[in-house]
Amino acid sequence: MENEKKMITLKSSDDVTFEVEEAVVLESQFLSHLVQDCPAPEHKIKEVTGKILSKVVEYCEKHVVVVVDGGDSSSSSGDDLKKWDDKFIKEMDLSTVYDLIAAANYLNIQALLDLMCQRVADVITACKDHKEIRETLGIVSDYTAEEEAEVLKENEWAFD
Amino acid sequence: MATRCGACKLIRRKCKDDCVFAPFFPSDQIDKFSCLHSVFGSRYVSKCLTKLPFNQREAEVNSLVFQAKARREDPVYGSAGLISRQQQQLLQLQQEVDFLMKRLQPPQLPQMQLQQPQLPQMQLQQPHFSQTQLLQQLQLPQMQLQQPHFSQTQFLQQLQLPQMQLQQPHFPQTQLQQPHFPQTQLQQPHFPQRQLQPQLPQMQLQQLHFPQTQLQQQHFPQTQLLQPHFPQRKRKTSRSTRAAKKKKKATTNTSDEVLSLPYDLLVMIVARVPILYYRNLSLVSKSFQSMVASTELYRVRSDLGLTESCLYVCMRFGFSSHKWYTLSSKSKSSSSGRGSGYVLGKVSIMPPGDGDDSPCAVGSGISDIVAVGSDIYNIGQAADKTGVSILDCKTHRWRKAPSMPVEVESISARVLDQKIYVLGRRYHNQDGSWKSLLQVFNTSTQTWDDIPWCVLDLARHTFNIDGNIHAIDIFGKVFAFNSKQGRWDLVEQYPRVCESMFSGSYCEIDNVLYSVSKEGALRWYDTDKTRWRDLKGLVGLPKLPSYGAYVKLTGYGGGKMMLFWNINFNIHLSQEETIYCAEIALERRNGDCWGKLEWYDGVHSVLAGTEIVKVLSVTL
Repeated sequence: MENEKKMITLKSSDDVTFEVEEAVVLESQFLSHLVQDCPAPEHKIKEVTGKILSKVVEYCEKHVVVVVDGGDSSSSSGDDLKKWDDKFIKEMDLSTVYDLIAAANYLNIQALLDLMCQRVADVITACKDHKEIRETLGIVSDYTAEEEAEVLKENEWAFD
Repeated sequence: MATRCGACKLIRRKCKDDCVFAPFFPSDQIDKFSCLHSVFGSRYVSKCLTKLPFNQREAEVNSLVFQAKARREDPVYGSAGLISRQQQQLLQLQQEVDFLMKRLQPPQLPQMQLQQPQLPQMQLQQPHFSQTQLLQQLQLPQMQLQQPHFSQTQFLQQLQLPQMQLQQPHFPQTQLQQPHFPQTQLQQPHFPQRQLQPQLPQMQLQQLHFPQTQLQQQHFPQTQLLQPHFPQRKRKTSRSTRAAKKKKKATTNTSDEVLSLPYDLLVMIVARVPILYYRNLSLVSKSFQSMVASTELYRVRSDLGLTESCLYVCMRFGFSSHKWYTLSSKSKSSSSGRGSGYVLGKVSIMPPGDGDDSPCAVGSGISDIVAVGSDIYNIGQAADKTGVSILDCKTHRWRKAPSMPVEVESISARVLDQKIYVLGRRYHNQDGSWKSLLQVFNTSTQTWDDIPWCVLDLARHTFNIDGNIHAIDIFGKVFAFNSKQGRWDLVEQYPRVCESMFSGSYCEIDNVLYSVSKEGALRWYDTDKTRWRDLKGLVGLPKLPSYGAYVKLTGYGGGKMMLFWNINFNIHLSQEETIYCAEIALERRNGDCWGKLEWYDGVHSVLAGTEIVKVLSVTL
């Protein structure tokens, strides 16, 4: 960390700006290429809103710090990071999660993408039945009533 | 000397006055005893007879002769094969009769009427089916109807009736005819119904009366779903204005629908959901249904290293009808948190494309089923007896695999190192006897190995122990397959391993052989002490059916065993029975093998008489 920390400004689609260290930006494959290819001081990310970008930045900053510091006590910091991740996702509603998935995919941040996808998968797993999955995920069934009855009949087996 | 009895004549010994054989084997009936002699040995027969009081001996002789004859005709299953076939048939017929009675018996129609008049009329409608044939087939069930509580002896008497079956031990003709039989039976109800409701056209009636055909048709709608253009589906689904509004700004923070995400991201989410829940997911919408059957999903899962074990159960009802089930998580809403939370969900096999590659029959020695990776192989009985079909558990579609080079029967297959070892019987014309023959299929190259087929005298089962393929012959001798030299070596180090082996009721987990004994006890084969030993520490497991073959087991995930059983040995008139499942965690400790019951529960109910053919652990 001898050289001066290089700061980079990211601008969201709704013109919210974030000033972050270059190391943070490097968490994102997409941004690291962008920064390397065009060394402008400010980068506009049209696809991501301020709200979501702030979450992305928060996540990347946390992970950069831990990764940089965590050379000596990797296991405990790994646990800390996990705890932080858990807290991070717990505070979030599902629509934010979806947007973060899209953003993480766009910005190519694999760890964030994995985390968020796992979150939705856990939500699905926790659902009681298909109706609750529909409700939770806001899915409108495209089965007709008869089709649904048919599929249900085929699948359902109540043990009494 | 001149008065030697038939038995003593054959074994060339002196016939004493107190000869046990003399009363039953007159000197002109050498054949009767030669059959006993070759199957049981004369010493055994004499031992059996001396133990019994004189008045019971004749019955014993008859019974032994019957068994010996059956054994000669069918060296593998002997009279047990006969009995089980007859029992199957009986159960099936009974089921059909019950089913028909139910149909024929709308409350207003008394039972008496139904039994007689319909039959001849029905035959008129179906002139291709001869009256004698029909009556022959109906004999059994009718008897049963009249005597619902018929005793074991009666049953055995019936077993002996169809002697013609003995002549054709491998594929009795009556059995072959059977597959047609259910249909004719099923059509029966049309007639009275039509009388009752003459205004209904026949087509409609067919649908009303054949729930089974209907079920098969239910699979078909899914074909439509196979073009997984998810985004288009999505547009269709989210036709509501709310959803349409969201669509315009797909990646903005206002979307609250998971479907606003691109398809590949949805797949990444679903890939992380355990397979147990896929059944629920497929009920959510058509798009999810097609997604959980897409190869892409499983590609993503394997890329992410998220493969898991998944249980498949093949059940058979009658001879030609078989269905596949998979263990899934139960919709929790339906059972108010009670029970294990598991259920056997029916697998909807995708309809065949160009040619039907699905097997026409499974199990019971005519084919064997094994799992390799995500594929289930049914060996034997596809288009012909040598046919091999593969059920891809990702897409639930059958496809064809190269046929066996040599046609064999009574197949027993085992998997070792991505290779399937198929042992089957074949009649050798040269020496006029049945031999067992090993053929090896390499699943990675999808070819049959070009090894000279190794011939063994007559084997019953194959199993893996100590990382090697073994076979047991009908005398209980164990042979190990020597793959380097391509031959079978007689091994002595596993005595009595045959004591507890029934088809499909044993499995290998982490190089240990487990089985269910005929008393219904779970055992493992201790290769150090060279005997079967009971699994220790099993608390809470209910009594298993006392005939081991009614329990099927398989290894599952890491060091676990899954058991499936249904209690159907008693012939009773109940319509349905429950399939039970138990999960047992295994552990080796201090030279003992311990099992811990994780859970057990009823996971499905089936028509009585359904047979669990095989339970397989598939990696998905």
